[in-house]
Amino acid sequence: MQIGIDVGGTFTDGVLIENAQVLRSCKVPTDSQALLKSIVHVLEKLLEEKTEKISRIVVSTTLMTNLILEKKYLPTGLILIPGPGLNLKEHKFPFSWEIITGGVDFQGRIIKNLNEQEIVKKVQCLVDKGIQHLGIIGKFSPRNPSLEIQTAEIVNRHFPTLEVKLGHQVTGQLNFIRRAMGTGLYLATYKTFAQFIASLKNALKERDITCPVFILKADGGVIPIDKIMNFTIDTVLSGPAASSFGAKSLLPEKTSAFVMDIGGTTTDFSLILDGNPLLASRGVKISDVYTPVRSLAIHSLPIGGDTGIEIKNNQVTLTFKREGPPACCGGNTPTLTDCMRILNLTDLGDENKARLSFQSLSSKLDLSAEIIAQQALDKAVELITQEINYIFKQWQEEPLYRIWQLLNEKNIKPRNLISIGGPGKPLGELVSKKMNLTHINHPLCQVANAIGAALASPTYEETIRINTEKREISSSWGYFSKNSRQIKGKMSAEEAAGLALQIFKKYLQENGVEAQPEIYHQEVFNMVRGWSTTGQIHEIKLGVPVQVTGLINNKE
Amino acid sequence: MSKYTGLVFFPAFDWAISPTHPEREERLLYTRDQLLEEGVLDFPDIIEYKAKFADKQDILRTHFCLPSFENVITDAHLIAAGSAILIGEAWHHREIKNGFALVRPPGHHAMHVTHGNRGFCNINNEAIMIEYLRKKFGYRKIAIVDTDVHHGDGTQDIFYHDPDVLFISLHQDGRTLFPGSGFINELGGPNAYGKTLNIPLLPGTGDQGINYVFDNLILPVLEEFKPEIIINSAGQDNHFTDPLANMKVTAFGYGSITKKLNPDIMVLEGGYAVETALPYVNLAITLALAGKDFSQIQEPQLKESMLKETSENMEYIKKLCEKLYLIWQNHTNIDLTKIFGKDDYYTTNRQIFYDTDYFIVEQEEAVRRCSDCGGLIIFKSRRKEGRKNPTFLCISIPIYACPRCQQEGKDRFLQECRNNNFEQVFLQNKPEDTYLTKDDYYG
Ligand SMILES: [Zn+2]
Ligand SMILES: [Zn+2]
Repeated sequence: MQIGIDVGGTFTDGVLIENAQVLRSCKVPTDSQALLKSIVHVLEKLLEEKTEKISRIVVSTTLMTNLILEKKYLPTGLILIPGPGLNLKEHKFPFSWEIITGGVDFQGRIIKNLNEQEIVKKVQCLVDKGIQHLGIIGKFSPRNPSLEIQTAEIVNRHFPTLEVKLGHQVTGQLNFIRRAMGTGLYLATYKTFAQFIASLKNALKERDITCPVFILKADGGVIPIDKIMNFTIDTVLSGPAASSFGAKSLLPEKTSAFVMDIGGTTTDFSLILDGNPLLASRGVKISDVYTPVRSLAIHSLPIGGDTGIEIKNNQVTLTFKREGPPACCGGNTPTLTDCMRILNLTDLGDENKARLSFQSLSSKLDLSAEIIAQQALDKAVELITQEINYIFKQWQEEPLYRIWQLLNEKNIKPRNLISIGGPGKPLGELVSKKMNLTHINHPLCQVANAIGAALASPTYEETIRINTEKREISSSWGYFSKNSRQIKGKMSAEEAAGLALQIFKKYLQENGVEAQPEIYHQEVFNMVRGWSTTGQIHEIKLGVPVQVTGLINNKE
Repeated sequence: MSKYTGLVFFPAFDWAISPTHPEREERLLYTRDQLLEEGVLDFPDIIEYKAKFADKQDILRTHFCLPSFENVITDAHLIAAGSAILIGEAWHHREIKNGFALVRPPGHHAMHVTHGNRGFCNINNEAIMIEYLRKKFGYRKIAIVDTDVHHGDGTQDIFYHDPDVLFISLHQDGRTLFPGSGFINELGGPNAYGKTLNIPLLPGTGDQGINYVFDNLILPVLEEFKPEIIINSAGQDNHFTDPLANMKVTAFGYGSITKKLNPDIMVLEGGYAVETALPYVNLAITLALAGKDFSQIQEPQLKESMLKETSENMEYIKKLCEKLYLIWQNHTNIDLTKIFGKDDYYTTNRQIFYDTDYFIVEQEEAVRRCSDCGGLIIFKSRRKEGRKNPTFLCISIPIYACPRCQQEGKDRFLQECRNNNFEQVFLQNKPEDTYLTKDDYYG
C-alpha cells in the first residue's frame, strides 16, 4: 500500500492506494501556519490499518512556494562574479549583493582572477547589513567552479561563522541570474525547510512509520526524504505537478489532454501529450522570481472557486482574488462557487445563502441573480478558454534549434479536458463545451493531486558536456571534473555516452535512486581552430524517464 | 509602438557545409551558451520566436535557382530564410519594435541568379524577406546596411537596379578580401544610380573608423533617403579576432553601431571567430537592440592599444566619406548616358566565382532602361567548365514594374519558349507573384 499526500494552499489531500485501486481518500483544510498538522491529520484519517503494510509515502508540500511568495527569507547576501557581460543593474535580486572581480568564460577558462582584499571588503559590507548566509555565484561556474571555491575559502578564513553555498552546487544549468536566485532562495529558506523535514520525520517515527518517504519535486519526480536538503528549492510548485501526474493516471494510456486544476484561489493548467505531462523549457518563475527549478509547464490564472464577483462600470466581473469561503458555505461575499450554486451546477452548501449574497449585486444592476451568475461564469469560462489556447500555442511555438526537430514536429491536438479540484466538474463541463473538448471528470478527480503524489517516481533529465580539448566534464546538476583520464582527444558517440552514463549512475546512487538511466539525445561539435580539429564537445542529454507505476482503475 | 525586441535563434546544430568548414555546427554553440548564461531570454521585453520554414514561392520571388530549386536549396536554407521572414512579419504587425534573425546559414553573397554556394551562401535571407514584406504589405522604400566584413555582393546584385532600395555596404577593401568587389564606383544600374553605396575600408580599421563612417556618411544618407524599413546585414567578421579577415572592430563597437543605426530588422551574416567574437558580439547587438547596457561586454583578448585608429587611416576614412557623400548628394544630377550609353537595354557580361562549390558562372545581364521602374532584367547564365553546360535564360519583372516592362517581360518569355534556344527559360513575374518555366508554357 502506498500513500500520497498533497499539501495545497487551501486543502490537504491524501490517498491510500493498493494495486491500482484507491482504497481510501480524504481532504482536510490546510493550516498554512502549521503544515505538518495537516499532514498528520490526513495520515491519521488514512491509517486505520496497521502501518507496517505501508510500502511508501510521497508528500508534496506547498512550503517552498509559500516561503517564496511570502518572501519569508533569512538574512541572505550574494557575492557575484559576473566578469564581463551584461550589466547586472539590468536585473533585480531580493537579496543584498556585491560584485567582485574575476571571470570565467563559456569554455570554463579563467579570464580574470580574484582579489582577496576586495572579497573581504565586499563581504564585510554584506555582513554589516546583517546577513548570516552567503551565496557565491560565478558566471559560467558550472563550466569551472574554481573561482567560487577559492572565494569560499577566503570567506571561510575571514568570516568563519557565515553559512556559505556555491552557485554550481545549486544548479549546473546555464543562467547566471537564475543560478544566483536559486542559491539565494536556498540559503534564505533552508533552515525553515529543514525544521519542517525534521518534524515530519519525527511525526512519522512517533507513528511507527518506517517505510521509505519521498518528497515531490516540481517536475513530478521524487527525492528520498534523507536527500531532500540538496533539492529544497526543487519542491516549489510541486502541487500542480502532482495534479498533472494524477490526471495522467486517471486517463487511458497515451492520451493527450488539457489538465485544469481548480482550487479556491487559482486554477492551474498543464498539458499531457501522448500520456506525458509536458515539461517547461525554462525554470519556474514564481511571482517575479526567476528560478532554475525544472518543472512541468504550468500556467496559472487567479480564478478559483472562492474568487469574488463584483460590479465594475456596470458590468459583472471577477475580483481575481480569494474573498474567503463561498457564501453558500458560510462566507460573506458572492463567489464563483455561489454562481454555480445558484445555477444548480453544484449542490455544495446552502442555496439560500448563495442567493442572499447576490442581493446587493442584483439591486445595483437590476438583474436577477441567475443572470448575474451566468455572466460571471461566462467571464470565467472565457478567460480559461483563452489561457488553454495560449498554453497550447506556447507549446507549439517552443523554439527549436535543429533541423531534424523542425522536420519532426509532433502534431498533437488534445481532444480532452480533465478537470480536477473542488469546483472542477461544472466549470470543466462549461469550458469543454465551449472548446469542443471531451470532458473527463469522476469522483477521484477531487484527489487527483494526492494520487499523482502517491504514484510519482524518480525522474531526471540532465545534460552532461564533455570537452575533449580541455579534458573537462560538466553537468546540469553541478558535477564538474577536470583532467579526467577517461576522456580521449577524440571520442566516439558510444564512448561519450558510456562515460556520461557512468557519471550519471553514480549521481543517482548518491541520491538513493535505483533506476535505469537512458540517453535521450546526444550531439557532438567538432572544435576547429585554424583548419584543424582540436577537440570535440559532446553534449549528452540523459535521465530517468517517468515510470508509469500503474494507472488507477477504480470503477466510477 | 511595441516595446519588445524579437529574436529568432536558429543555430542549426545539425548542419555544416563540411566538418571543418567555418560554417559548421559549432558556429553558434558558444553564442547560445552566452545568451543562456546571461539570462537574456528572461528579459520580459525580449521575445524568442521559433524558427520557421520559408515556402518555395518565397524563394522564387527573389531568386532564379539553377538548374533547379532542389539543386540549390536544402532545409537549412529554407529555415534561415523563413526565420528572417518571420521576424520581418512580426515587425510589420508591430508585435516587436525591432528584431534579430540570429540564424545560419548566411545569405548576403547569394545573387539574383543562384547556381549554388558562394561565400557560404545559397540564398539571400534579407532579400527574400524584403521581397516578401513588399509583396504582402506593400512596402516600397527599403534601406539595407551591410556591416559584414565582406562586400555584400549578392544583395547588391539583387537590388542593383531597384531605385527604391538603398544598399550600403561597408567592408574590408575588395583588393584584399573575397569577393573582390565593392568599390566606390559601383553605384547602381542606370535605373537606380546612387542607390548602391560601397565603403571599402583598409585592413586594420576598428571601432573609431566605423563609428566615423556611421556618423558622417551612413546616418546622414539614411536621414535623407527616409526608408520605411532599415535592415542590417549583421555580419560579425569585422571583429579583431576573425580568422578570415583583418579588421579590428570590437563587440562594443558592434553594439555602438547597432545603437546608432537603430535598425528595424537585423539578420546575421558572416563571423567565424566562434569563441573569441561571436558570443560577445551577439550579446552586444542583442542588448543594443533591446536598449540595454552593453558597455560592460569585453572580450578577454581585447587590448587598449587596438582601439585607436592610425592617423593615416582616419585621414583615408574622412576623405572616403566626403567623396561618397558628395556622390550621394549629386546622384540625381548625373548624365547617365555617359556611364550607361543610350541603348534600350544596358548589357554587362561577367564571370562569377562560386568559391565553396568551386566553379565559375558566365553571365550576361541586360536591364531595360526605364524611367518609370527598376526595369525588366534578363540574364543568360551558364556554368563555365565544359562545353556541354547549358545556358539558362532568366527574365525578371521587378516588383513595382511599369506596364511596359511587364508586357515586354511576358512577351519575351513567350517568344523564348517558342524559340527553344535555351535549356530552360524562367519568368519571375514579381507583380503577379508567379514563377514560370518553359515547361509551364508547354505543359
Ligand atoms: Zn563575411
Ligand atoms: Zn519600366
